[in-house]
Amino acid sequence: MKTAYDIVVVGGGHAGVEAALASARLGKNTALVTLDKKAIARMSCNPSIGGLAKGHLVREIDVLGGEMAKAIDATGIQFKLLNLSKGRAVWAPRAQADKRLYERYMQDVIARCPNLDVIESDVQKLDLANGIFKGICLQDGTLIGASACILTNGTFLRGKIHIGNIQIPAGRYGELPSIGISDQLKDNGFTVGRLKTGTPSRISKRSIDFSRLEIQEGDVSPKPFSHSTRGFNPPNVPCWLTYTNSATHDILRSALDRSPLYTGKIAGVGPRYCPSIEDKIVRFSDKLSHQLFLEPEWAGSSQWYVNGFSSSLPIDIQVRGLRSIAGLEKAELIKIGYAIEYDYFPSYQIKRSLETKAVSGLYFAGQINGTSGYEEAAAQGLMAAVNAVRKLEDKKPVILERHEAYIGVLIDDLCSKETSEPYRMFTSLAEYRLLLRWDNAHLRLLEAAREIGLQSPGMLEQFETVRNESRAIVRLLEKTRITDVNPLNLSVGQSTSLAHMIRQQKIDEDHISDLQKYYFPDYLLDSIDQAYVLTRYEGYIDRQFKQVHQMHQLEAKKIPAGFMYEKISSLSNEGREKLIKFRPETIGQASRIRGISPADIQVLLIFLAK
Amino acid sequence: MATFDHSDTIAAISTPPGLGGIAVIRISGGDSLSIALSGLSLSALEPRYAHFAAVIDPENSEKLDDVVVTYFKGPASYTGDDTVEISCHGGLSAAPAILALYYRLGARPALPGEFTRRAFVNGKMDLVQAEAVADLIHAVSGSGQKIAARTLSGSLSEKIDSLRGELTDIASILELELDFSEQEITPISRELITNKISAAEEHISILANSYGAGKILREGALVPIVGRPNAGKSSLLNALLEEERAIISHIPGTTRDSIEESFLHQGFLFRLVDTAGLRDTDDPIEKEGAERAVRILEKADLVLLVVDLSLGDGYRFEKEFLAARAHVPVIAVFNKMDLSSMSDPFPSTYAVHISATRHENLDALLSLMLDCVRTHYRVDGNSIAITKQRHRHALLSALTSLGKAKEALIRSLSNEFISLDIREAIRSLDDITGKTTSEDVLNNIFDHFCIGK
Ligand SMILES: Cc1cc2nc3c(=O)[nH]c(=O)nc-3n(C[C@H](O)[C@H](O)[C@H](O)COP(=O)(O)OP(=O)(O)OC[C@H]3O[C@@H](n4cnc5c(N)ncnc54)[C@H](O)[C@@H]3O)c2cc1C
Ligand SMILES: Nc1nc2c(ncn2[C@@H]2O[C@H](COP(=O)(O)OP(=O)(O)OP(=O)(O)O)[C@@H](O)[C@H]2O)c(=O)[nH]1
Ligand SMILES: [Mg+2]
Repeated sequence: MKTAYDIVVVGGGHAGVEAALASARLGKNTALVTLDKKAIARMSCNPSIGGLAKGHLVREIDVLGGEMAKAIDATGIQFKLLNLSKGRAVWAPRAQADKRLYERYMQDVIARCPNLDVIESDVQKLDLANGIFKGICLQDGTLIGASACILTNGTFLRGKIHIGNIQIPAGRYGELPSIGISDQLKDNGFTVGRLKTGTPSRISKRSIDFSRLEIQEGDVSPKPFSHSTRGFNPPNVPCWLTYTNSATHDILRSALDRSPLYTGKIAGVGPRYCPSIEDKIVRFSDKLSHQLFLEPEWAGSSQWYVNGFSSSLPIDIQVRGLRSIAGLEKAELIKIGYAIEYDYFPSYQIKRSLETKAVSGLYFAGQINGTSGYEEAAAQGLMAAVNAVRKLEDKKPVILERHEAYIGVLIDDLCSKETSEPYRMFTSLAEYRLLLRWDNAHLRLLEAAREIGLQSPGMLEQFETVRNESRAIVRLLEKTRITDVNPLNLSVGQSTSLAHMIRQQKIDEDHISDLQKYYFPDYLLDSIDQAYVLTRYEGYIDRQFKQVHQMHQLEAKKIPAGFMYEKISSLSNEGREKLIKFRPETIGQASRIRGISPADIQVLLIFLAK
Repeated sequence: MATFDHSDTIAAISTPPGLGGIAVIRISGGDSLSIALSGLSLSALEPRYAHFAAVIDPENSEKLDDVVVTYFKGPASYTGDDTVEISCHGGLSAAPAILALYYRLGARPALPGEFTRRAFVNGKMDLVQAEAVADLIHAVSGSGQKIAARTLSGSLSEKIDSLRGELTDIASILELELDFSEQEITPISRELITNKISAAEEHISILANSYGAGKILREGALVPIVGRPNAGKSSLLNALLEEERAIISHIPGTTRDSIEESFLHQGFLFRLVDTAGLRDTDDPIEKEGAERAVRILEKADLVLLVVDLSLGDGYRFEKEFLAARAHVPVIAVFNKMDLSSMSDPFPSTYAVHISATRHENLDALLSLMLDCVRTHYRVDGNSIAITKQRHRHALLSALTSLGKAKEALIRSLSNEFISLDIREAIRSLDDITGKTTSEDVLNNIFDHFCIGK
C-alpha cells in the first residue's frame, strides 16, 4: 500500500466523492479513505437530488466539472422542473433517485478514475505539526503522508442516534460513528458544536394501499441536469401523496414525554426547514393535517420513504401514527425513523477556499461545516479539492462571488454567518436571485470552469458559443421587425420589434423553438433561449447588475489576514469581537456579519485605505 | 448595510447644523459639476475661483438664495473627486432647500462619513488624519444619538423596525411560494398582497411626512408676523424678543423688509419674521416688501396675524386672510387692548388679546403658540418624527420601490420580481438604521409557516 499522496480525502459521502474525483482528475495522487467502500455516495436520507436552489447547485457543479449531475441523470427515476408557473430564476430541476444505482454509479466512476485509491479505514487521528497538516493515521496505525487533507466526515463524528429514549452511537442507520477527530481538533484550538437532523421511517411497499393515495408523476419530457448528458430518456416512476389527520396528531402528541426532543436528551439544534413531524404538530398546532410523500428508494423498490414523517418518537408510536393515515393502515416498518446528533465545526473557522484558518493544508467540506444536504456537500467537496490542488500548485484559490453562483452564496454565508441550525441552500438567501438562474449556470461560470480545468474543452467551447450567440441574438431581437403577417401567427398591430413583443409577453416561452425555426435557424436553441430570458427580464436583470455594481467596491476591498482589530479603539465592542472571530477576507463580507455596524465598516475602510 | 457607490455623486451640508451664519453644501462625484450648474445662474465654473451666483430651481425658475460657489477639480479637492462647494445663507432654511433641490437634480444624500471615505479611498489622507476622522465620526454619532434621543423622544428605530417587519412579512409570503413550492402551501391572493403593500405604503408615507414636524423640532418653527400696516407687528417682535430689534413708528409702512429673529421658548425654537404690512400700495419698495411677506407665508409653520383693535373697522382684510389660509394655523393677535376693550371683532380658531407696547398678556400668546405647533404638527413629545433629509430620502425611495412592486403585481409578474422590489424597500429602510441581513426573510418564513419534509 502506498503511504504518501498529494491529497487525502477523509469520508466517501457526497462531499468526499466530488473532492476525490476533482483532486484525482486534476492530476493529483489522491487517496479516498472511508469507513465502508460499499457505502460510498450513499444517500443518508431522502432519495432525491435537486429542488429549489439545490437544483441550481447541481447545475453549477456540473458546469465546473463535478460528477453529481451526470450521476443523477444516469440513475434518476423521475424528473421534474419545479416552479414552471413562476419566472425563470426560480425554476429548478429535481429528481427522484434510485439510491442503489446512484451509489453504484459513483463507486464505478471512482474505481475507474486514474490517480485515485480507495482505502477502507476509520481515520481517528490526523498528523498535525505547528498548524500544518502532515498526514493521517489509519485505524491499524499506518501513517499516510499528504500535502493536503479534505475532511468530509458528514454526520459521523461522535454521531448518536435517538429513537424515543433509546440512544445508539452511530454515524447513520446501521453504520458506526467515528470518534477521535473532533477531540483532537478541539485540542488544537478548534471550536466544536453539536447539530441534529432526522429521517423518517421506511415502510414496505406491500403494506401500502395505493388506492387511497394521490399519484404524483414526473415531467413527460424531462430535462437532464448535466450539459453533457445525451439521449436522455429516464423512467418516470410515480410518487404518492397522503395526509396526516387529527387522529395521527393525537397519537404523536400523547407520547411527547418520550420524545428526546422534548425531554432535553438532544442537545444539538435541528433545522427548522426540516422539522420532525412531532415538531410540526407542536409548533403549528392549528394545522390539522400535514402532507406526506411516499417515494420509492429505487426502481421497483420494496422499501418506501415516508417524506414528511421524520421522527425520533419511540417505535410503537411511529407505527401507530403511520397506521392512522389513509393508505398506511397496514403499514409495516422496514427502517425506523430517527434523529441523529453529531459534531460539526462552526464554519467561521474556514476561509472561503474552505481551508481551515488554523491548520494549513487542512480543508473542511460538507456536513461538518454545519450544512445539510447532498448538493451543498458536493459543492463544497468540489471547491475544497479544487483549492487544495491550486494551493499545491501555488495558484490563487477560486472564490466564486455571490452574484456568480449559489456556490458563492453558500460558501460566503458559511464564512460570514453564525448558523445555529444546519445550513441549507434557499433561493431567498441569494440577493442576486434573478441573475443566478438554473438555465445560465454555464454562462455565469464559464471563466471559472476554464480556470479550474475540470470541464472538457468541447463543453467549454459550447458554453462560449452560447454566450456569444445569445449576446448577438439579443441585439437581433431588437432589430428584427415583426408585422401582422408573421410565421408565429401573432396579431401584432403596428410593426414592432421581436424584443418588444417579448417584453409585452406576446412572444413567450412557448415560441422559443419557433423563433429558432423562423428567425434564427443558424443559432443554437440554448442561445435563443438565453437571449429570450435576457430580453424578457431586461429591466430587472439590469437592476440586479446595478446592485452588484454598488456592492462591488466593498467586495473587492481586501482585509489583510492578520489585521489587528484589537488596536482599533474606534470599533464598537461587538463589531470588534465579531471581526476577530470571523476574520472576514473582504469588507463586503464584513458588512454581512451580524453585529458589525456601518460605522464599524467606515472605520475599517479608513484604516485600510492608508 | 448602506451601500457605497463611488461612481455616483453625493451631496450634504458639510458645516455643522446651526442657526444663522453661513452653511456650506458640498457636492462631490463624477457629475458634481454638471449637477451643480443645473441649479445655478452660471453656465461654467473656473476651478478654484469663488463665483457669485444664484441658486435657481430650474423647474419653476424660483431663486432660492444668493451664494458663493467654488469648484474643485479632482484630484485637487477634499475627496479627490470633482467637488463643488456652495456657501449659502443661514443653515436654517436656505441650506436644506438648496440641498433638496440638488437631490432632485441627481445628487444622492451622502452617508455619514462618506466624503471622508472617498477622500480616503482616493488617497487624500494619511493615517494620522484618518484616525482623527475616525474618532470624529464616533464623537459625532455619539452626540448625534443624544440629540436624537432628546428631540425625538419616541424611538425612530423601533418605528423603522416595525415598518421593516411589515415588509419582511410581505417578502416572506412571496418567497414562501418560491422556496417551498414542493410543499402544500395555500397561495396567498395577490389582492391581499396588494393590500398589505398599500398599508405599508401608508405607514411609510406618514413617517416620511413627519419630516415637517421633525424639521420643526430640529430647525424651529417659521412664524411670520403679518397684518395691516401699523397693526403693531414690529412692536410685537420687539416685545417677544425683549429688545428693540425692529424700528417702530406710528407711520404705516415702517417695516419694508422682513426681519428674522429666532427665539427659544420652553426649549422650543420659534423663528419670528417681522414683515411689511399687507395692503394695496403704489410704493414699489413697500410693494416688494409685501410680496416677500406673501412668500414667507407660503413656508410658514404658524402665522401671527396682528390686528389693531383700536381701528374698529369691518376687518375685511383679516377675515379674507383667515379664509385663505386653511392649511396652516393662524393666531389672531388682537393688539392694542390698552386702547380698546372690544371683544373679538371676528371669529378665529386661535385668538388672544395683548398689548405689545405694554407687554400685556404675552404669556398667553406664547402658550397659545406652543399649543398650536404641538397639536398641529403632533410634536407632542410622543410622536416619532424624522429630522434628516437623508431619512426622508430613504423613506421616499422605499415608497418608490413599493410603487414598483404594485406595478409588477398589476403586470402579473411572478413573486420573485415583486420580492425584489420589496427587498429594495427593506434595504432603503436599512439605510436609516444601518442594519442588514439577507436571511431575515427566511427566518420569518420558518417562524410563521409550517414547512419541511
Ligand atoms: C438521518 C439523516 C437525515 C438527513 N436528512 C436530510 C434531509 O432531509 N435532506 C438533506 O438534504 N440532507 C439530509 N441529511 C444530510 C445528508 O445526508 C448530508 O447532508 C450529506 O450526505 C452530507 O454529505 P457529506 O459528504 O458531508 O457526509 P456523509 O454523506 O454523511 O458522508 C460521510 C462519509 O464519511 C465517512 N466517514 C466519516 N468519518 C470517517 C472517518 N473518520 N474515517 C473515514 N471515513 C469516515 C462515512 O463513512 C461516510 O461515507 C440527513 C442525514 C442523516 C444522517
Ligand atoms: N397703545 C398701543 N400702541 C401700540 C401698541 N402696539 C403698537 N402700538 C403703536 O402702533 C404704532 C405702529 O407700531 P409698529 O409696531 O411699527 O406697527 P407695524 O405693524 O410694524 O407697522 P408697519 O411696519 O408700518 O407695517 C406705533 O406707534 C406703536 O407704538 C399697543 O399695544 N398699544
Ligand atoms: Mg413694522
